Amino acid sequence: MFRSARLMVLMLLFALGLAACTAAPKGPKIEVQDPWARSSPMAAEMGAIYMKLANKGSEADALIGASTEACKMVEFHETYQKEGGAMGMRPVEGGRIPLPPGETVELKPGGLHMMCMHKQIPFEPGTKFQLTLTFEKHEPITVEVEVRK
Amino acid sequence: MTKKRSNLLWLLGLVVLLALAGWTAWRFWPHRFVGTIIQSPQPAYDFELMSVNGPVRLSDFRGKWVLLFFGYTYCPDVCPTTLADLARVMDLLGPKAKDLQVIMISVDPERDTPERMAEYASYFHPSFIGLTGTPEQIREVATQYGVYYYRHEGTPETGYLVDHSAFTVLINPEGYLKVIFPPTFGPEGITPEQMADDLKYLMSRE
Repeated sequence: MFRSARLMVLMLLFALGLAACTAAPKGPKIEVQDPWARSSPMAAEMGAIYMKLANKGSEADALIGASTEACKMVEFHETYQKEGGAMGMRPVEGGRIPLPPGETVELKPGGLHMMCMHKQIPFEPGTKFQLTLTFEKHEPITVEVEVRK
Repeated sequence: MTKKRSNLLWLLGLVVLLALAGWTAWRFWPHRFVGTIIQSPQPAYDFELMSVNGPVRLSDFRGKWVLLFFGYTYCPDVCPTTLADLARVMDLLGPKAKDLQVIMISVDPERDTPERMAEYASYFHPSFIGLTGTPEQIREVATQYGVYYYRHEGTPETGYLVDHSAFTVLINPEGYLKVIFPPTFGPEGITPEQMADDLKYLMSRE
């Protein structure tokens, strides 16, 4: 009985070790979480798309492109605080969003965001559209973006 | 007087005292504002700008609280976020919302027509008003309210972009500047709930 318990522990440890190895595979492993877009009237030609990008792999990667039929074009922009408290907006340097390994980059209101240029569909709450993300290393990922208030 | 009766009187006295203490605390307890209170209120600059239904003056809204926000319709992040949060504030105010007028003023008068501003502002809440004017009028209003805006090149797709202040200004029913609210996003952003609490506090006292 004692012996088999020890064996069990050993096997468990082995299994855990194996799991730890498989959890961090070689290369970048990108996970897209909670992609959403802000609803806006058609009078607004631009829209904003937000999400979290987690790099669960062991290698750095970068988001370099996004495309969807909902927008004529998607660019990466950043809202930042200027001196004196005003808000500025600038395109992301080099048009790429770095995704360091083990980190989650958040695209959120008042910060990094995807700018949907010339909306092709109304951004009404509940509307969903497909968005394809391209990376420097990782293969492209297509996600469903939900429009919210 | 029986003993039972005097006990009852004591109890009644205690209840009255507690109620009085509660009311005093509610009435005089200092509220912690998230917005910056303007201690010596000055009259708010009385602009005249263009709405889809013709000219509008700030003084047309005497008797109502007014929240002013400066933005533009090509703005994809800051402006929709702020207006959606202000719409949430309206919901949180409940029946008091009818005493508040949200006005968005364009800092992009070249592209924002009165029609465009009306469609944009009212999309977020049917009561919201969008105003625009000549570049000179906009320059004057922005200067009077300490609003910074700066037009700069964007990308070929965005056209030019306008950096601008993202605070909101609260004007009381007598037309005096009352509170400056910080943006509703960013590391020091306030929540619509906090903003609504400030408004409820002020609206129940003035």
